[in-house]
Amino acid sequence: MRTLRHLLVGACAATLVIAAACSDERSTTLEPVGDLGFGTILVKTSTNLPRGTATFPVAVVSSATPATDSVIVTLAGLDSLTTGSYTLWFANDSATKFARVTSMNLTVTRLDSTLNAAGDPVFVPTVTNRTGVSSFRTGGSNIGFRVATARNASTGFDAADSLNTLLVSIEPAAAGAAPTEVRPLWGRRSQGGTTRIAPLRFGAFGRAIPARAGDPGANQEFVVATNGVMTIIPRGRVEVRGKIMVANDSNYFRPPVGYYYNAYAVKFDTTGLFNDTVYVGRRTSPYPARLSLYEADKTNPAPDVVFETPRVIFAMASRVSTDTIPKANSAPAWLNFGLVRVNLQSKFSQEGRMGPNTILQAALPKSVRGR
Amino acid sequence: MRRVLRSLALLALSASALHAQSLPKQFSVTTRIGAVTAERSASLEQAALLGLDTEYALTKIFGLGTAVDVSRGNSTKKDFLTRLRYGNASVAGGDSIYYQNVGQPVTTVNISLFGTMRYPSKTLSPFLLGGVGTYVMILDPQVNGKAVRKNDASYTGGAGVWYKLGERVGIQLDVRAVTYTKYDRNLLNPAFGRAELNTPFPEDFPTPPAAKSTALITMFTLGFRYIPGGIGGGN
Repeated sequence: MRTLRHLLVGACAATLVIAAACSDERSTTLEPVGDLGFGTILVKTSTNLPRGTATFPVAVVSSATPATDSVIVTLAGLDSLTTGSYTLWFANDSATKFARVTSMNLTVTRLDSTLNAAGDPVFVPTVTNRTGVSSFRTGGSNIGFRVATARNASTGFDAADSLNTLLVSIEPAAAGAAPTEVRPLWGRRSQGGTTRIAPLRFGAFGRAIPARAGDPGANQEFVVATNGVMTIIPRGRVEVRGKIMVANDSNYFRPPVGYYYNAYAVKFDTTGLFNDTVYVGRRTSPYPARLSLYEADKTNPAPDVVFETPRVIFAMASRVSTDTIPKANSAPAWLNFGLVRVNLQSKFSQEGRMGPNTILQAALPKSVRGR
Repeated sequence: MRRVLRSLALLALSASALHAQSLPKQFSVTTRIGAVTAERSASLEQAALLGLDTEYALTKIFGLGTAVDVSRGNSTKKDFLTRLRYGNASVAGGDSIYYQNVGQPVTTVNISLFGTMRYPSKTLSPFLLGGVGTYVMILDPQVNGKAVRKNDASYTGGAGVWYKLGERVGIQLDVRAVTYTKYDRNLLNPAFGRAELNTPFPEDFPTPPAAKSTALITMFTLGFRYIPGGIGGGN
């Protein structure tokens, strides 16, 4: 009887132990989890960065007829500003003396394009002239400027001062005796080679006031692009997974003072034409920190990816959910969205309105946009 | 686990009338079955266990022995995420990415040399156990695409009870805590080192607990103890 009891107890215990140890879930190598992702690459576009030329007068110093010492400036790729204004300055090459240009003849050319019946593009320019302009805030991706002025259109530039630098600044308020720290465009006579026509450089010119660590010297430059051409090639990737869109990209110049990087998504209509733009937001550092890089033009908000020398941003990222973007909260999410753009935008323009300065662009695949 | 504990209690109650005794100067062999469970950071699922102990009773109280424990369970799939990518991101159409948890069966053999200290009594004979040895983890060659194994030192500590069913047989219940040293959790990830592990959606997947350099493994076993007659000079 005792043996039977022992065996019964032992058998029950063994059964219980084995049952506890075993699982009906056998090993499988792979187990799908969550939504499918769709990815594509961000590629550098033709950028449409701020650019132009400056044609200097023949005489470095004032000629006998200063009114004929013409300075011709062409500009393109400027963002329209909601605060502040674009202001032109004459300066000597060492940038120790500035004189604001106060009387400019401004020719604004807006170039619209349509398709004719044959499907060929037709460009329709609309020209507007303004005279006696001292500053302006117009801009746009299809707007070009021609500024005609002369040496004597500035005040405070002595006859013996050499006119070797043309500077475009953004003045948040009434201009003072010298440009503020936002000096994104400039041309120097010495940069024109054998001609008097210097391509404008985009970046940060000269030392900010007060000077900051890492700034260029008083007459030095931090060049992001020369006549719209960057010497650095960013790259990246966009991936959409369910409601989430993530862009991870790298290899950027730090933004010029007064600028920041942001991202937009472009929605198409049923014919594949632009329908709407959605602001994806200011760029951040990658996971896990995801710190805003809005202030990377002046300070270093994320030292792990923002470098002082060279002045580059090693990596940036965006992560958004359609839960916070009603226009993209469709079924499926991101339906009809065909492009993702990484832009460089002026802090003086309207945030959330896509400007002309697209750096990288990704064409979302059909698997995302739905057609 | 609750079922195991319930069975232990049942056995303890039912054994009150039994007469267990220690066996000095004798060998014993114990075959064990049970369950093995690992601490969460080890990323090993609970598994069944087979064990074999051989022990020589130096005295009524102290003994020396060897143990071999074999288990074959699964790695914790949700701790290992990878991506299967189809298509080319640089051409029209982009690519499609399947997010996958990766698991694999893991065979583990733990071999140890242990000492025991028993408290002999007429009913139950509780004991403590401590030992040192080595563990070998053998991973699935098909999943990994190659033979992968890992071995290093292990330390064992445990306690249990033994009672007599007859002159030469008995039942043993024990719990053992085995520490695997120089434990490498990444070894369980067949996709470790692939670029596709860098998922762009880290926030959307649970993060496994921080990996540790050791793994605490707990074994619950039920053993059937057999004492060969006359071996070792005993009765």
